[in-house]
Amino acid sequence: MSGRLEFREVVKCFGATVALDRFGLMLADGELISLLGPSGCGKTTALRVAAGFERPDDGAVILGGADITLIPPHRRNMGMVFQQYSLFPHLTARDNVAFGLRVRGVSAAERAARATEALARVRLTGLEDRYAHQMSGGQQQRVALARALAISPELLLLDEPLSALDAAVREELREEIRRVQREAGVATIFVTHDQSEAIGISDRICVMREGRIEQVGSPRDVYLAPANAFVARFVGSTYEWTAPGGRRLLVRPEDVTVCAPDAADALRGTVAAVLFGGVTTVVRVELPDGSQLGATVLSRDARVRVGDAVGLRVDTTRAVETAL
Amino acid sequence: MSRSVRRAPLSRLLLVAIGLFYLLPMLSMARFAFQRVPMYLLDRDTLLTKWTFMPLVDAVRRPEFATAALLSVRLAAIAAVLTLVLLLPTLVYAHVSLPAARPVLDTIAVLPFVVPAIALVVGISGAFRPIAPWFISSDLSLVPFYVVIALPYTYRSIDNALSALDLRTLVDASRSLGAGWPRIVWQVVIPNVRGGLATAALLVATVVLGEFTVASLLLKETLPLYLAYSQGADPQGTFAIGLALMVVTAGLLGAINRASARRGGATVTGVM
Repeated sequence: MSGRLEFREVVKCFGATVALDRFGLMLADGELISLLGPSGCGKTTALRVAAGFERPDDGAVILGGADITLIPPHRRNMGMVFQQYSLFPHLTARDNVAFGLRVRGVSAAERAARATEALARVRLTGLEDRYAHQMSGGQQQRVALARALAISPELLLLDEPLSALDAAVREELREEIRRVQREAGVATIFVTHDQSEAIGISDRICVMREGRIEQVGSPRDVYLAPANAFVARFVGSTYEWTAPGGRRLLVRPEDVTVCAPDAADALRGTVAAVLFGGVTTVVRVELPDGSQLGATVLSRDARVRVGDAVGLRVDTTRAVETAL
Repeated sequence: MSRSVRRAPLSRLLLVAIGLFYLLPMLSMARFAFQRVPMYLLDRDTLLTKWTFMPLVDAVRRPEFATAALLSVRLAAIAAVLTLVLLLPTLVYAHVSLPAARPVLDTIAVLPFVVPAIALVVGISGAFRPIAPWFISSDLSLVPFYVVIALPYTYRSIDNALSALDLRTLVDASRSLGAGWPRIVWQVVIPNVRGGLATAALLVATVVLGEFTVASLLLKETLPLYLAYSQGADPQGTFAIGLALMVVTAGLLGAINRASARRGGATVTGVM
């Protein structure tokens, strides 16, 4: 299979720290892939290697069949949106978006028209003449997105573009990014440490730890069939439980149901906490051996209180085994 | 609330006191320079009599003044350009790629404070006279001295202006959009640090217009030297020129400040 972008066995070290350890990943045309992992897992380094800001110590980066490992960033034609606000303070929104076109020698009239159109695509019509300091954080990131797309990039690189924004704006802009990315049909790498963001936006998620890939798959696969305990713990919440027979399992709260304490072949425990979460509530139950299990219930059905004796049934078909 | 009400008159008083501290000597200077009144008659009664710009006009008409002033203006311009050409790329590079070098640069930049001008001249002219005598005899030999003497101020103003930006992100964004280094410096960095650059240039000019020791030791006829020597022959004209220089410099500072404030950029102090 030939991909848009391929990381081929990429190694990148900073001093004694190995940021990327034989990192290999392939992006298809038009695909949005998230690099997800805790801080220091190498996800931003991978993005910066793709952009050309970091040069790999070993391995290659292939774009559309051509080796671009040694090509400097300004010759790569990649659009990038940064975590920090990165608009040029001395330029208006329109001139920011037009900057890349100006570099490419597009005439003044055409770049003004294309910039206005790009701003319309991110729903910023009317704000063309504003400066960065006259816009909200969300608006600035929309301009940055329009600026990255205006150059018709071969690849779109998003480095935690939502993490500086507040929750409501973050969700709205996440959908906006996805819509605009689909319309542009551009292959995209989205770096995030927020699993719900990755699940909400991606075609595929690449879960990383210590410079290596733990699992690559659709959000569904990664959530419902985590490859190992690290992925299970990092994506979604899990509880560690010793099953009868001594197997240590990671169990998701939605695989646990609350029943009457005297129900047949149910585990018995005491409610330790009731965590209201809007639509659903997680009931945390302490078992006789001191371990805890969570159970998701619809909030309107949650009638238990802390200290109540309850029964639990655990569906272990999706549970992941973990070492002691 | 009550605190700020009580403090307001006090701070206003302080402001007036500081204003008088600067203004009174300048007013005395102005009276001495621009009134055709004998010095022993300069009191309250003569405050409004016989004001004239003629001492200034006469003084600037002297050919020696024109020569000295032109030399100083030329040296100021060259020194300012050289300062910017040397400092801006160095500091941009340090901010973006070598932040670890910044403390070292900070220290180097204040060295001119502790090296006396006379030591600088003796050392450098001693070193250059045998190998490049034309350098010391040329008027332009003053330029490197001015650049070095002004360094503690010029470095600060440019460094402050750069620190106010998230330079690394702006540079990364420019590069991802296809801009190479010359374009980044010209179209992204300079427009955003205009205030700091203008301050630096102005500070160099101030140093050139006030520096006496180096020019005197190297026997160059710059404006400060002319003013010092002409004091005996034409004290009134010298004071008139001195005062005019101050007004021009202050006006220039104000103009630059207002221009960069209107564009939403950094002010001449370089710290927004």
